[in-house]
Amino acid sequence: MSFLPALLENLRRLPARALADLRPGRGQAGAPGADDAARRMRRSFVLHLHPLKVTERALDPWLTLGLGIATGALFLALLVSGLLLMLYYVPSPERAHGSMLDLEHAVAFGAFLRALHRWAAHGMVVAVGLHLLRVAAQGAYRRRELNWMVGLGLLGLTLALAFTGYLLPWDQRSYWAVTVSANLVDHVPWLGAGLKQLFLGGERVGAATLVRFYALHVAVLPVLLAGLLALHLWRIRKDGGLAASAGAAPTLPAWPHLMLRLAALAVGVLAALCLVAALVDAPLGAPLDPHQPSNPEKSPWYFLGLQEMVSYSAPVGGLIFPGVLGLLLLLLPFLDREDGAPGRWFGDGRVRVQVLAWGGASAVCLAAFVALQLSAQARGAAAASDLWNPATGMLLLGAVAFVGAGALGRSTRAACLAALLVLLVALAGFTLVGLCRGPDWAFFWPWEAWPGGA
Amino acid sequence: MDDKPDEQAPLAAPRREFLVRVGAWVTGAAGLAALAGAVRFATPDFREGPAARFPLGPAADFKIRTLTWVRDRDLFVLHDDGGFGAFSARCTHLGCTVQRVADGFHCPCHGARFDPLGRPVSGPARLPLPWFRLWLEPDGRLWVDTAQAIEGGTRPPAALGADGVGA
Repeated sequence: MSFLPALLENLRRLPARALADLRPGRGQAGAPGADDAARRMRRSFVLHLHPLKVTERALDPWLTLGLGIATGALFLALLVSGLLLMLYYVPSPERAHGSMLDLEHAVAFGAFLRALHRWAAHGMVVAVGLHLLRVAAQGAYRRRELNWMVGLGLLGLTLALAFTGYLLPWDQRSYWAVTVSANLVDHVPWLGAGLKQLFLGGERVGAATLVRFYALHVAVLPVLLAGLLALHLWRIRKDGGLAASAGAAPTLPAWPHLMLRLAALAVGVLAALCLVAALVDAPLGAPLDPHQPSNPEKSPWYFLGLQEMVSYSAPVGGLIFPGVLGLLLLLLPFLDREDGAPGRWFGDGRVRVQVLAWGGASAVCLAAFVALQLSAQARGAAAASDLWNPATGMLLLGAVAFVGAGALGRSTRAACLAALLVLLVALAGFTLVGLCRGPDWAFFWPWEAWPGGA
Repeated sequence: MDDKPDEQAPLAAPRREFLVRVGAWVTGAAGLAALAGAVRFATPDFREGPAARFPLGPAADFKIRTLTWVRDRDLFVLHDDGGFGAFSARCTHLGCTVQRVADGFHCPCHGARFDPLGRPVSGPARLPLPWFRLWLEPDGRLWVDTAQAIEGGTRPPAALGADGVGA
């Protein structure tokens, strides 16, 4: 065939060939186990996430609650909405708050995308947190030490992204939250002053801080998160799938059984997110006043427990408590080497009794500690020392629970999970108290009006 | 030219093993040095923001028995029967600006309370609001130096010059 007819023929058949040749899994007919879906899965990069066949157990929605996939879907929503928001956002003190107003009022779908980004971020914090709790409660960190660490890194990155993100609107909450955290960093022994300087790019929150946070938020942290996420997913396959299905024979083809379920879950999460974003606008605080915080000046709910603890003592609430919690999480797969009851909530019966009993007891103690603290505060008692406050109380109780649950349950898993639950009950309780704080950080029940009609 | 790597024991030769180790350590050290350089790069040698030493304005503007909030500079100027005093409005707990109330100062961020001279009363603050060196220039203006803390509650004698000599 001469050149011209051949070219014309190739062009004529281009659409059909493009469809056929670019499809993953082509040209492997006759490979073992080769129905079409299996071939596609083996060849496709995205579908490669899962092995060809999975266990029946892996399909049980109550096993993982789909939290990991939900997190991934929210991360995707954050990437897309974040890239679009970058078209209008200018990271300078003069323009930042104005570009928020532009997005709200003068850009088509601007308010929607901002709301989507905000609620997806909150959703991702919730999903990552619950995912971690699920894995810890089922003991699924066992024999997956590396992936547990990677997961903790992902939690840290998620919180760092949330934190760097909320400086960007350059409103009252942004400025004061970062001012407070920078001063908290100053309390770190030896490194504090240097870290604070690194973080702020100067003495106080200013243009340099905004640019640094912007660079972290749009480049450094998302790239790290995407890389660690890929590693996290890959390790699940390498570690032999879900911890709970260890030992069972994989019998079901992943396509369509697992894949369609995952796709439905991800699409469902994104649909719910769009609905929420369409109905609820993202709040935008008052323009920044670097000389006077609002009263009260409250952080977003996921840092409110920390803010409450910091209001007892800066070093205990801001450094020691989160440090102990982080250390316990890091050491968890090394302190507990028991292989009992994979995939069961809080292990087997003996462990579960211990963990839940200590968790319940800690809720009662927490209520008592907080009541004492609030009555002392109401009396205007003299400044307490950094040592005696509800946060240290709960840390001590965590230590008691570690020893108590471990000895009574004769199990390292009981010890670790009981101590973890005590600290998490404390964090949740302090968050609730923080929600009830009003002007001058005084306590108000939710049904009480704040003075000054606020 | 018979230098093909031996696939059975590629690093068996002690000299080769030594060189690989040295290479790894040098690469690691260079990486650490680059990291240190990046951290140093992110720590500028200039300081932004207003100077620590500045005029507050004519002393006559700060009437006796008043407390003035110098908003732009985050400090309070007290003028009472003891004389003039200037102290910081930034909470010693975590740096929010305290607000004036009837019995002293409140911090809205974490509820620290201070008495009218800036000493902590309750809440999480452990240190008093820092007082700054204050002086009167011959032209009648009060000056303050926020880089020089002085003992809380101390006032300079009612009228004095930069060198401490009465004007």
